[in-house]
Amino acid sequence: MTRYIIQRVVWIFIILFTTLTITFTLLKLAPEYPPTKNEEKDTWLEKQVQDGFYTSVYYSIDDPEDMAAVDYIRANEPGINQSVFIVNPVRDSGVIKVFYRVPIITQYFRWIENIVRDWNWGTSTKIRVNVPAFTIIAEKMPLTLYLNLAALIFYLPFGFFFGILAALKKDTVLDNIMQVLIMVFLSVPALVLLLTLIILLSYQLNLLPSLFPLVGIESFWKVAQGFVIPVLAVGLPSIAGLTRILRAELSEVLTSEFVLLAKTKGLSHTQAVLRHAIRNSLVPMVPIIIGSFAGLLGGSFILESVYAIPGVGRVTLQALVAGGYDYNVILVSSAFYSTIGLSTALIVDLSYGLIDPQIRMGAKR
Amino acid sequence: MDQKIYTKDMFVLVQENERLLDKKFKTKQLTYFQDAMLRFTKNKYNVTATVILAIMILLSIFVPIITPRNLYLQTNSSLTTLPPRIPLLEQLGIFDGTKEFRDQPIDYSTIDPETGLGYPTIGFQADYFLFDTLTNQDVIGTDRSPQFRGGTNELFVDTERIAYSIVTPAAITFLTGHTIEVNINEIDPAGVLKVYLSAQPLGSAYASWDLLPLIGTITEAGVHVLDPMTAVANGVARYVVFKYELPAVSETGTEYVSFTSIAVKNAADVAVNFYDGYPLAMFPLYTIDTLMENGRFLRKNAIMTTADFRYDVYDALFADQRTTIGDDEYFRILEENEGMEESIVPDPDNPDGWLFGEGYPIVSVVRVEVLSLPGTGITATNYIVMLDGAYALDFESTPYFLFGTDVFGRDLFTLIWLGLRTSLLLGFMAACVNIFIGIIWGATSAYYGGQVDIMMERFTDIWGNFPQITMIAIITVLIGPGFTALFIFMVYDGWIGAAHVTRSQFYRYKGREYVLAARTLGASDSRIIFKHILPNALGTIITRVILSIPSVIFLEVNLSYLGFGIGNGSSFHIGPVELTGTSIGVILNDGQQQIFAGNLWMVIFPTIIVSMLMITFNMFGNALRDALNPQLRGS
Repeated sequence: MTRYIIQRVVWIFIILFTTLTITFTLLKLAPEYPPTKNEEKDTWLEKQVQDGFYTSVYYSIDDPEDMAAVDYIRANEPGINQSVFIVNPVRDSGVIKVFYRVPIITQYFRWIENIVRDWNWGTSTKIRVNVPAFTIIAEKMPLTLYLNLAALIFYLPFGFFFGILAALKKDTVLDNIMQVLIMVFLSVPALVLLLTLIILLSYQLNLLPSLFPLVGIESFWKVAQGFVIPVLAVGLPSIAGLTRILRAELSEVLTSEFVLLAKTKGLSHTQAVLRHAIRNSLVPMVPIIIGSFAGLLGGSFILESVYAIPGVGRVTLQALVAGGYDYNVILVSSAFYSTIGLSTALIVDLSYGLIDPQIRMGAKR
Repeated sequence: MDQKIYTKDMFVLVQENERLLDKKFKTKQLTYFQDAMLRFTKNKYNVTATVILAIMILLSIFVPIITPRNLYLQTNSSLTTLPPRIPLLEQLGIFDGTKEFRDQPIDYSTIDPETGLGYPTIGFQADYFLFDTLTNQDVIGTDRSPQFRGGTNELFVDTERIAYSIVTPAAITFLTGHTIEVNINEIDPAGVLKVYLSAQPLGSAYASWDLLPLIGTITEAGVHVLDPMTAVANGVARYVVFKYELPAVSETGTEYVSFTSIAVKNAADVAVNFYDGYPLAMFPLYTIDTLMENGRFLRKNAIMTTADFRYDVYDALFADQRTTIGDDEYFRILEENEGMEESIVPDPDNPDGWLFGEGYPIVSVVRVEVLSLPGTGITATNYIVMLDGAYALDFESTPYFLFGTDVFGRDLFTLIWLGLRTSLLLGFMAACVNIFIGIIWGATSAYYGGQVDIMMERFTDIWGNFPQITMIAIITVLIGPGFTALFIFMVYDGWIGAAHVTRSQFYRYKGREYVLAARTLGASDSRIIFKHILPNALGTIITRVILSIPSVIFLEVNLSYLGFGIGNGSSFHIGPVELTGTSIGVILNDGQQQIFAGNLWMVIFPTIIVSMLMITFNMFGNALRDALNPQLRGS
């Protein structure tokens, strides 16, 4: 068991590492987009030199030979404004700086060194200039996680309730209606559902805000109101999914012999289901529920973008505005999403073994 | 020990006369696909869903072909945001081309004395209101705009300041018997309101307040009448200055005087000048000692009346329009429309003009004017005509835009089917690529097994765990948004599902005897994979892929909505098929900004269509799975 857990954790690190390596390499193949303002650009590029991603050459503005050299670079350097940047004198320093990007392989090792040694993920170029990228994502994390937790807390009781109801009333009118609703909610795209909810609850009935309220400025009550539409938009399809799985699972358990035995003992059908069947049908449910957390999170960027929720997804999309890519922020958010996804996968794997001892961990096929 | 000897004559053949052959079945024999078809048609719901799906696919192919291209490809500024208008349904009062407007500030001159209701006139014509839907409501605000009426205006003194003043916007000529009537709503007893007369509109013209004649001091709320004639000669124009003054500098900045109205009345007690609400709010400020005088002049409790109503947008847009056309144009229209000239009848109401019959571009001629350029003898004839509204916008008659038009004036009905076609085609293409890569990958992995299998599995592990948003980031940065990027998003990890299914199916079949037999006979690996195993596994794989198409379309909608996919204006050619940059995601993106303008149809119709597509597609996929793999039913 321990061996298996260690194996899995190591494997997760390998996947995370590979993902980030591929992302880093591919992003660094593209042109760089430093901050646009001269002073911010200077600060950012100096920080890059310090971090080991760039080298710099200084030219004096008073020296005609230096100026000629700068003009030559400006005119002839193939990577100008892509991997080579010229920074005009900042604060009357009289120094023109030329920055050259070092080869990707060198950058890569420096990048790993910075992260491992100083937890330095680089600074942002566009979202909030010269602020550490990790800080930006870390600030947005709580809201994204709260939102997903709220959705989880909302959908579980309803999902269980409807799932059990559907299994008990299987093949009745009620069950058929629920099957149709399940089909609808599972089929409608999250985006469409969200827009429908905004039209209904916000535009037509004027009950809820049409965009997420500003956290920190608005009162707690207002922010809580802002949670309703996104939680519904995420929760309703999840309820439908859970109901469907639980119904299938429970109907299968209901045909097993121990339920028959329970009934033979004189328990009513409902008693037999609630006392005996549900417990057994829960076994495969736990991993599904844990796994759904990663699923909710993965879909959160469309939600955050439509409803203007200042979470990780929205910041990542802002870092992806054409022509103004913020690579460091993208890398941190990739790490965030990968880590959440992979650790959920690990917990799901382990929970199989913990809940159902019949499943042996790491057993050979 | 005796050994029993069996001789040949001890045995008898069971039968000698007939050969033993398979007996023919009494019942009809069914092939695998006939059987599947039977199972498929058994479920009526799924058949209905499949029929609807087929209709939707046909519509998406033919609607854009039938509709004239200029209706859905060109921006048409005069047709923007028209509401849906559907034949037959319009008789019932729904989708009749009327549009609901909310919170439109009304024109106060239109208030009907009987009902007390007014309506806006800017951008609206009175003829096309549905008056039974008109309601008014009051909005209370502090805006300094003429739309707001009444209310009070409050003059505050800032902290560390002693006074603040306002002045009439124009000089008032005072005649004998004139009085100034000041209606004060509230006054903070900490200070007093002093009224002065000033010859100049600006306080900077004076060095001290002592230079101005004081005509009154007000200390309490109510109507106060002041006599200016003590300070000014008959017939002289003066500005009236109102100064709220504190005995000492303000500590809190909350002292104020609240004006209801200011009036100048003549000897007959008739108001010559009257200021309240908005005109009062526009009083200029007046300061002499800029260091000690400062404050705020704020409007309060002003009321704006707004109207909610339905408005017949189509009738308003396609109403006959009065225009002037030259004689060349006039005769050209007459020539082009046969029988038009013959249909002329004199206009009983207008002796200068004449009327045309029904169905011609020109409804009537109002009058004819002949202009001659002086000195040259050249004359020009102009016809002032009522042009048919539909003709003016290049339509034969008032059109029916079934789903309305979008912000660019394009027909939403065609646009949605066009978008659906793009989405579907991309979905099918992505599914084909996914199934192709998935089968090869999964078959290789499972067939060879062992180390190869483990390596390939680990690769899909890493690849499949790549966060979607990271992949979007990488592709957007390297390629930029567009068809290629969208297609890569759709297939980069879509094939993993197909590979998994293929792999598990292959594990199921590769140990079977017929595979062993084929191998013994010397069949090559590829022959065993593609001729012997794959056909058996194909049913499962196909249903899996069909069930994946909706999720691919999901992805397309989401990405195009976010701007990482296609957008208006891009287009892509695959042989003879042209894919336009319009997809459901793009339409939804355009429509979302219109929700709060009240143009809900731009979101509702694409939403309904895409939901129907998803639901029917899922039901069709499930039905297909049940039919092809009955053992998986319900899972």
